[in-house]
Amino acid sequence: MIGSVLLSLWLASPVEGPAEGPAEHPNYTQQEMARLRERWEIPAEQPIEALRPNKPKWRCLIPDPSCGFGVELVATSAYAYRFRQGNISETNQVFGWHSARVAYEVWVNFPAHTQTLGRYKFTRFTLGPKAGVVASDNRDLWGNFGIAGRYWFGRGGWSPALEFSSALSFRLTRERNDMIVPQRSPVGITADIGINIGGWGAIILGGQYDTPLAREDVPEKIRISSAGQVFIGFRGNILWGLPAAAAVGTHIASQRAIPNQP
Amino acid sequence: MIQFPFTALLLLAPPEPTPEPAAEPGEFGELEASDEPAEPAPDASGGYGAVTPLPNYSTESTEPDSRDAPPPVVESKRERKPKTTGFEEPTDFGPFFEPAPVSEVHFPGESLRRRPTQPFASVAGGMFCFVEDSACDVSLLTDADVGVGVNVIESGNGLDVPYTQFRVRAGFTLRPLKLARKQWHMWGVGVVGSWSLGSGSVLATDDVAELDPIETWRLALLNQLWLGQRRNALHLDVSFGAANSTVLDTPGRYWGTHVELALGFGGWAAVTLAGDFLDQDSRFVLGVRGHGIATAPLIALVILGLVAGGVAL
Repeated sequence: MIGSVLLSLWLASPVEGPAEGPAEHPNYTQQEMARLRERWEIPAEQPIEALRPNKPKWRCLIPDPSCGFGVELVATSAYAYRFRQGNISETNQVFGWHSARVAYEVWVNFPAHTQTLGRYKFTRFTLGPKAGVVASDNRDLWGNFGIAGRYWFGRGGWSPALEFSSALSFRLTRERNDMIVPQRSPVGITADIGINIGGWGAIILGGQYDTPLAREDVPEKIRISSAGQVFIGFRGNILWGLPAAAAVGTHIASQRAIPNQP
Repeated sequence: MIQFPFTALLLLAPPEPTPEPAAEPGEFGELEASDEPAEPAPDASGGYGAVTPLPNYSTESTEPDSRDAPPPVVESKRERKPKTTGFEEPTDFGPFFEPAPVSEVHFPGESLRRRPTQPFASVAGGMFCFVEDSACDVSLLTDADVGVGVNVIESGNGLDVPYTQFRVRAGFTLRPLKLARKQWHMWGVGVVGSWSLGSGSVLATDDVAELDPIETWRLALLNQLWLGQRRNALHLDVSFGAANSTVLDTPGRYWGTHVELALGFGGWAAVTLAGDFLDQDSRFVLGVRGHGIATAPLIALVILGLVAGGVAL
C-alpha cells in the first residue's frame, strides 16, 4: 500500500529536463559569446575577461596605445639643409648650406579615436597641441607651436605608429656680438611626418619655411629674406635619455662646428 | 329579443351633420405660408420653428470665460521650506558641463594611477592642485609660452613690424562658488603675473633704428569658465590687467592695459591671444603655453645646449 502511494507521488512530481543554453555566462548562450568573440577578433579559447594588455611604459609618460590622455616631452636631432634667399636684384641667388636642427617640444595627447576590446580601451589615434623651441646654427632659436597627431598601428607596447605635426614657426633670437638677443620675424610654417616605434622614438622627415619681411616701407636693414630648411632626423621621448642627449649634443656641435652663415 | 330594435334603429338612423369651422382663430392661429423668410428670433433658442446653429472654431468666442479660469491662488502666509533634491541622473551626456559618464571600459594605463579619484598633483582631495584641473578648488599656475604677433605703432615715429616673445607666468586660481556650495561649479577667479622678453620695436624718425628688446611685466585678474567636469577639461580664460613696459624710444617705463583670451586644455597647455596696449604702442600676440612641469625641463635643455655651445646669455 505504502509502496503504491510513493510510486504515485514520484510519478506525479515534475521531472526537470537537461540544462540548455547558458553554460558559462548566465545571460548569453555559447553561440552568442562566440559571435561576440568573432566581432572583436578574440580567439575562441581566450575569454574576454582573460585579456592581459601590456603594461604602459613609465606610467604613460612615454606614449603607449594602452594610455589615454598624456603629456610627453620630445627632443629632435636632425640633419638639415638650410637655404636663404640672397640679393633679390640678382636672378636665382640662393644661399644654401648643410646644418643641423634641434627641437625641444612638449606634446599634449588627447585620445581622438579608441578601440574597445573586452573591458579595455586602447588608443589608436591621438591629437593635441604642441609647443617648443627649435635651434640651429648661427645660434638661431625659433618658437614653434601647432598640432601633433599619432596613429598607432597596433595595441602592443612596441607597436609602430605614424606621427605627424605641423606648426607655426617664428624667430625668437639671433646672435649679436656673441650674445643672443630677441629677434622679430613673420610667421612661417613647419611640418613633419615620421614613423614611431612604441612611443620611444621616431624617424622623421620635414621642412620649414620662414616668411620674409619685405614690405617697401621697411628699410633694407630691417628686411628679412625668405628662408627655410628640409630635415631628416630622430625624435624621441627625453625620459629614456638618448633623445635628450642626442639633441643637446647636436645643439652644441651645430654652434661650435658649423661656421656662421650670411 | 330587445336588442334587435336598438340595432335596427342605429342602422337606420340618418348621419350626423359635419360641424362648420369656427370663424374665430384657434389657440395657435391659422397656418400661413409666406414667400419671405421670417426674421430669426432674438433669443438664443431661436423660438419655435427656427434652427440654432451649433458653435464652431470660427464663431466661438475667444473671450475667456470666468468659469474656465483657474481658481485664484492664495499665497500662503507660511514660508515653505525648499524641497531637498537628491541625485538627479542626467538625461544625456553633453560635451560641456557634464561629468564623465560611467563606463564599463577603461584604458589599461588608468589602473596605474595611485589616486584615480583625485586630480593629478593635488593635496587634500583637490583642495589645492599644482596642475589645474576641473575638480580643483585652488590651483597654482606656473607656465611658459612662446608667441608671435605684431607690434603696432600708432604714431608716425615707428614701423608696424612682427613681434615675437617668450613669456613665463605665475599665479593662482580659486573656485569660489565651488567652495561655497560644495559642489562643482564652472567659475574660477585668480590673479596672475607674467614677464616676457620680446623683439624690439623699429624707430623710424630721422633714421631707422632697431630698439632694445621689449621687456614687459603684467599683473592681471583672471576669470575662467570650465567647460566640463572631466579631467583635463577645456576652459576659457579671460585676463584683464595692467602691463608695464617701454614705449618705443621714450625713456622710462609706462603702464598700459593687458588683455588675454585663452583656451586651456586642463592645466597642461593653452592657446592664448593677448594684447598689451600702451601709449601709441600696442602688441598683439598669439601663442601656446605649457605647464612648468613640462616646460621647465625643456628650458633647461635649451639653456644647456646654448651655454655648452659657447653662447653667452
